[in-house]
Amino acid sequence: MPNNLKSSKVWHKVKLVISYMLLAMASYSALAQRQEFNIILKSHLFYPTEMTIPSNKKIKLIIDNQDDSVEEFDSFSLNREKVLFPKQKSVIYIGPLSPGRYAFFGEYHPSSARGMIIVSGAELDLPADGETDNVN
Amino acid sequence: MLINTVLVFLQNILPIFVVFSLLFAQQDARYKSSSLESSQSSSQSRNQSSNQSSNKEKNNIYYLPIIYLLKTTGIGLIIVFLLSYFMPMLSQLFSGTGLEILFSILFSLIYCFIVISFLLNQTSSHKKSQDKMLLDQQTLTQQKTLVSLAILLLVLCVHGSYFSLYVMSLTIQNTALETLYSGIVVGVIIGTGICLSIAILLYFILVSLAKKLRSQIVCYFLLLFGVGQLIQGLQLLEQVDIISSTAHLWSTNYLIAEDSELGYFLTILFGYEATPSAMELIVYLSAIIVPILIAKINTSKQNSTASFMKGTS
Repeated sequence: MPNNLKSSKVWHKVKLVISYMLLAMASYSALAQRQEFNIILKSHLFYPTEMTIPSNKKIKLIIDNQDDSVEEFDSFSLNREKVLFPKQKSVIYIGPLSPGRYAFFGEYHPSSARGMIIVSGAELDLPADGETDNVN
Repeated sequence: MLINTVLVFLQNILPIFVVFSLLFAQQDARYKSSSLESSQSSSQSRNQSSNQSSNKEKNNIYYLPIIYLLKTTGIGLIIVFLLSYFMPMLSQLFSGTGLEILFSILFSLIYCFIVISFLLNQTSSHKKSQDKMLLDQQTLTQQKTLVSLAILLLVLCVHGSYFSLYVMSLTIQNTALETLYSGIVVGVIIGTGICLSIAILLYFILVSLAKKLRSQIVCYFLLLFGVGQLIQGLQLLEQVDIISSTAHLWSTNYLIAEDSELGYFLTILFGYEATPSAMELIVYLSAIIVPILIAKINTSKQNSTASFMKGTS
């Protein structure tokens, strides 16, 4: 068998495996239902300032910037950084996290816009998957 | 406002200064190692024709002319302004994940160009010892110029746009002119001073390394910087759940906190992450190992070709 034909077959197989992996990752993300939590940014303050989420689960965090200025949601412990545009809702995903306290802040107004995400190991009384609700 | 401007400036603009410093150090390291080699060869052989060719070669080693740098910076600033202006619109694309997708592509491009630069430098250092064909060197120099300018442009656009957004957000607010002046102008001056000091210090540390290893070490530093950029892109995709993130493997916050001054610097320099996930660790290691392996394979291939050519002649 010529070398070119052999290498093209191998390359075809590699492409097929990569495509399956990407498809699996994308469909997993699309199908997975995440619990939703809301945070509001108003007058450079986060509401609620403390929020409890379940441990070892990925959650969807919706941040509603009701201010007239841009803010940046930033957290070193959560590895998250998201620009929040005025009068817009932004979505980020957090976790899975081990129990503990994870601080976040608004990078443009760090003295006022501060908050804490508490990851609890205990079972939380949470709404059904997909429903939007605030905890705390 | 002043302290915050300095912090935001350092976080967003320091990578631009660092990449300038690394690219200049790379160029300088190549020049010094080449001049050392040419002086050695000229003292040994005292051949006039070889001296002429080495002089021409030296001219080709300076591949970052100031005029090109200024033009790239100018184009970069225009793109930065356009990017920060259209950011609110871009953020709404793809169900609110537009910015993350765009910036992760840009971060990946930075990494790709740095890998190309790494491979070009590895090839050039090898080629120099094998054959000194002037035409090859000129093509290589042109390629290096284009790749270096592409790296600078991308780093400037990605990091500059975040700072531009911060400045625009301050100017939109109804703040007094004096407060704005003290907040932005003085903050930018202090930030530029700190960034410039760090960049100059890094440059002189790199060019004062051992002569034999200097070129290689600078190449690896640039590669690590690229890997850090790639990890930032990966985190953006994890943030919007395009790539599934896993639990943190460990935390080194007690050793070097990510929000400390050293943490900031190490994050920019080689993508230090105090709490990495398994995915980040795999991507980080692969992004270092794969280019090094490709460079090694290229070198061994060239070596075998050269020995074959020697044998036939």
